[in-house]
Amino acid sequence: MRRFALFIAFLAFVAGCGDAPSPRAEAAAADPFCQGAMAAVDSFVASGAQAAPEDSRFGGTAVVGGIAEMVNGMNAFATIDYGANQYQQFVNLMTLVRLDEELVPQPYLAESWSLSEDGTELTFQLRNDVHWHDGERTDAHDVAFTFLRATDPETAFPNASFWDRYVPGPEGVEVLDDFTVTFRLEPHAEVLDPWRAMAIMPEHLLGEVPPGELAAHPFGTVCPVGNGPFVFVSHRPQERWVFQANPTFPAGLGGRPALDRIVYRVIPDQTTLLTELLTGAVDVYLSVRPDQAAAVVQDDDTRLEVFDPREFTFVGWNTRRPQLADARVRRAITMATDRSAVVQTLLRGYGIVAETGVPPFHWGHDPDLAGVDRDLEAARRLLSQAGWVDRDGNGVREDAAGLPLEVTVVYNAGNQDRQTIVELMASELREVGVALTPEGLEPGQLAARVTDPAVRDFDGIALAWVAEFRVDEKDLFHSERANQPWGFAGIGDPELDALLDTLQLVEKREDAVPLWHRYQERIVELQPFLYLFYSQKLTGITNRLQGVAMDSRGEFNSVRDWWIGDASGR
Amino acid sequence: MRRYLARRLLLALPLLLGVATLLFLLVEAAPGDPAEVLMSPGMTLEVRSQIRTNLGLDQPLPVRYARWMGSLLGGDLGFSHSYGSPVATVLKRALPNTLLLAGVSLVLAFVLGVGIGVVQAVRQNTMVDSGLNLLVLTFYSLPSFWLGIILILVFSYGAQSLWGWPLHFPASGVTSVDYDLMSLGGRIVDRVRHLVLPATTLVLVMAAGIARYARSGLLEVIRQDYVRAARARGLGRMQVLFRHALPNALLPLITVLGLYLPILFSGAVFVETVFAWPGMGWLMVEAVSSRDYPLILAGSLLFATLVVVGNLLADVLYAWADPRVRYD
Amino acid sequence: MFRGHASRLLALGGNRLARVGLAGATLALLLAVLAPFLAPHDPTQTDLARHLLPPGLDHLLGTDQLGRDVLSRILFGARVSLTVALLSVVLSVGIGVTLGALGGFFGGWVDGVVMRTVDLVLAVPRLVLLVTVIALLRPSVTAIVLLLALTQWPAPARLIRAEILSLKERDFVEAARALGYSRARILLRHVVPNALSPVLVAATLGVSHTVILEAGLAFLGLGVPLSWGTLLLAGQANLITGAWWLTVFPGAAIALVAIAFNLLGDGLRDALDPRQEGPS
Repeated sequence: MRRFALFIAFLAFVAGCGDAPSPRAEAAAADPFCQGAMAAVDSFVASGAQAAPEDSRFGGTAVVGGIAEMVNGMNAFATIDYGANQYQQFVNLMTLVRLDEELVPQPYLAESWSLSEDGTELTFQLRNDVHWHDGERTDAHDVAFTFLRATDPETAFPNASFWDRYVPGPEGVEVLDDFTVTFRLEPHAEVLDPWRAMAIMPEHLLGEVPPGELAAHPFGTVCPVGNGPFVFVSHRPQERWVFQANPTFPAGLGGRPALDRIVYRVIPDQTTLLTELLTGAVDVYLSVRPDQAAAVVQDDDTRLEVFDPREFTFVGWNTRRPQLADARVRRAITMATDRSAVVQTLLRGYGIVAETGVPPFHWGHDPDLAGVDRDLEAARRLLSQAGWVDRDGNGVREDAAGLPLEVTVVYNAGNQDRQTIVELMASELREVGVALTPEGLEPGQLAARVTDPAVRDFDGIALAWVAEFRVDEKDLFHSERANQPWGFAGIGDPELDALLDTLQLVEKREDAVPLWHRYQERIVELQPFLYLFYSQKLTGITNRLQGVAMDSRGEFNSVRDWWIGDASGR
Repeated sequence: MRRYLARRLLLALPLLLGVATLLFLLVEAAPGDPAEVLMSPGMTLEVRSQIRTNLGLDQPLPVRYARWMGSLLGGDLGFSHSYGSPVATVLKRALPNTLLLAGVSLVLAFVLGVGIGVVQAVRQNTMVDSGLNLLVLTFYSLPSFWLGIILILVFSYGAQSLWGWPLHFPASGVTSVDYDLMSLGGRIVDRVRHLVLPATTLVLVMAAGIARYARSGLLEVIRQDYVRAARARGLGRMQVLFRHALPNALLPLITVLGLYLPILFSGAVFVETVFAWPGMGWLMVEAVSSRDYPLILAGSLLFATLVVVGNLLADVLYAWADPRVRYD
Repeated sequence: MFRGHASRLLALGGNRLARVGLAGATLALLLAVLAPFLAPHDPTQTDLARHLLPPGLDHLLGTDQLGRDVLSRILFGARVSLTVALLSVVLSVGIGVTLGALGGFFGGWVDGVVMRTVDLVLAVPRLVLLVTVIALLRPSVTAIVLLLALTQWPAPARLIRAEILSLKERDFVEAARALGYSRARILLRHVVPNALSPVLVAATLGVSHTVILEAGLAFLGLGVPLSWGTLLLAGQANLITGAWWLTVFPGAAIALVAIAFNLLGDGLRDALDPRQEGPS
């Protein structure tokens, strides 16, 4: 008995000491920068605190569960992580503009903007009532700072190409007054797009940090200071992020959000995550697997939010390989792959077949585009025409020189869905005499083998990524970029190059649409990638969480309006 | 004893140094680096090389090795780029979680394993013996991540959503979301509830091995003269067992305890991942895939140190418990 | 090689559980060897029209997401998983016995080098090592086997060293030495065979351990195609959503084989180690 008591005492000790200081205090203690920043946030939030409005919608905590940590957290200068970017845009920070349901830019941090007649000067008029969570006002200097650092090569911001057609450096930006800022640019399409994605960062906190040190600055994951509807409270790596309502969020933008707190939890195993949704431990399960969707729909306490596809899955070919150099071979492979069956079985119907990387929601998307249909006979004919015939009767075709039509498709080891797709392709391509070998690779090795221009040791790679609202596939297909990491397809097509060059320069959408349609036709003709499908984004939500509207803009687009329907529990 | 300890500790230093060097070379040799694992079309060669420069990876290998060793000896573990904080801070968060889970599991597995071993030894070669043997073997034979999932389905999902049992346990995390707002008592209960499923998984997996050692150890002792003598003196069967045989049979198990440490730390990764337990195993796997070199190296060193110290402790404990053992 | 133990090995017949283990292990090996003849379907042939069929007459253990026959996949998976387990155990025992025997027999600096290496390998966190080395190599049966062997040899090395240290002082070794036999001959002909029985037991237990460990590697994304671990994991997400047969059958296969080899190992230990015979 005494031992048992000792054991309990031990647990109490662990429980008590393990967290003696609050996570925030602990984080602050680790770094002088954080110490100051967090103290200022606390006092500012306390000063702004007021009784929540007398509305039953106010209050409560929503818990969001996802499988991965938000890499780089709230550091907009470093992140390429979809999840972290969502939190930057909609939760903790603010962008100059945000998209409405029609994907047209609307005012957010910027009250209004104007583009000069000749399209070379873009001027933003900012709101004057937005404050950083430590009390400083967000102003034009922050915007200029964000632009300068994001485009500074020393920062090494992966998305610096957002501003490729802006005049770089200090000549490109001018602060007219505290709330007015002008950018100089060459005329091009969708000039506002960078400002939809890139959150504005605080100059008063990060202005002195050398650009080369920004990516690793504790601001990102230890003590972010934002200006958005939710204030950072704490972050325990691999465990959770906690944000609380910002009482000072401008009334003009809707004021304080309804939720008291929003928590992001990292739960790496998807079976566990589903369990946590069904038992009510998390309210939102981001990216439900299609084969789990039925369980979410059937449960009385949860619902499934389905929104339009932005993410597409494809197999990128290395067209430098002799087996894959001929577009007819690539087309035959597409013909032999039963993509609509993949959508029906693997995606359980939650998706559509993809023909190009121009997503269905994009205004340039051609709904009448003639895609590639499954046709085994035509595939066989095409392969024979291209000179690939099974000369030795072993079931695999060879070219005149005897080179067998064998391709290895690599994928991220551990990604079950990717693996299943490649295995399916292997089985289907056997029917037309193509030997496809799936090979799962550790992610770092995969990246090195495919994207290192000096290596390029692969035939095909199965990948998925999220389409941006401004589609620019120069990095993928322009012959100028063939020796950059993402020019792995190695396609060199003069017409495609010309299209890629002009598409981004046509300012009027109606003038650009025919070009976009031709671009998609050309992609279908060339088949640099085997586009498989656009998968719909599935989100599981408990019924206690209300006011959730998700669409292709992102899961957190409506986060300010989320509210807890039942007061029990959290 | 003291001299023995000093010698062991001295031997441990080059050992740890060797471990560190070996891992440094292996990790460096693996293709991909922190710049390459960022998969995004915007990553031009220029951006990549700038990221390398910013992380100090543009220096030649020997320079980096010397620099890393230097700062290590100076007590600086370096900076983890994937967590945006010093490596020491990252490890300080993860280590207690792993130690708590591993420690509790080890103690409970020991209690359970020895209990089963004793029953088996007492009922040697009966149905009870074989039945228990099969039972513990079954748990031992399930991959731990799979056993964990099944426990979650039964005691979290099933118990709560399907059958409405009064007793159900959280499936993930070390604490509830509102832990910070709880009273001390509430916090302890919350922690224990979160520990139940992951610890049970580890206990079930480990108990088989311990039971096997306990059973054979006990059987061996029972045959020895002094136990027979005690029996002959007319002492009760149980009394002999618990007073005389068991303590002696348990002694070798202390060494086994030391042997279990590496298994426990490595095995924890599966349980940590399934139960979203923010510990060292999960951390290390993530660190490798994001090529967070300083974190991998420091974490591995920490593991190695724990293993060495654990074994040393087991030896000391053994000597302390058994006066016959002399290490001088 | 086990001349002296033959009679005791026969004693295995007296242990019911060990007999069950022997039967199970033999059966698993047979099924793996005969998989091409036994499997009702091609394990990689997909048929989307017949995907996710529950166990039935056509497909005894059902079909997976792509309409592949689960039974056939498990049978072929046995080849992969058992190959990995057996090869890596044989290799690790080979390395371990050689180094351990050298160290134990010659002592001195040889022993010092061997034991320090053992310490080093034991102190390296195996998980990190596995994950790192997998990042270095292309995942393949060869790579996994080498890796497991290189991390598992210290256990047999320690065992045989300890055994040899105690045997060295025994009469028959002294006698052989007195007869003027070379050290190598004594080591190979007399000492090692006598020290092998604990190693044999450890190896048998090692097979079951490795089958389980392979499943763990698959969980970390380091699985070999078609291995049981890979199959188990591919179906894991479906446990809660209905298609239980995808994961339960591979899981059962792993567990049954692990149990069988364990029982066999225990039986061998009882049979080979006279100290275990209780007075009862």
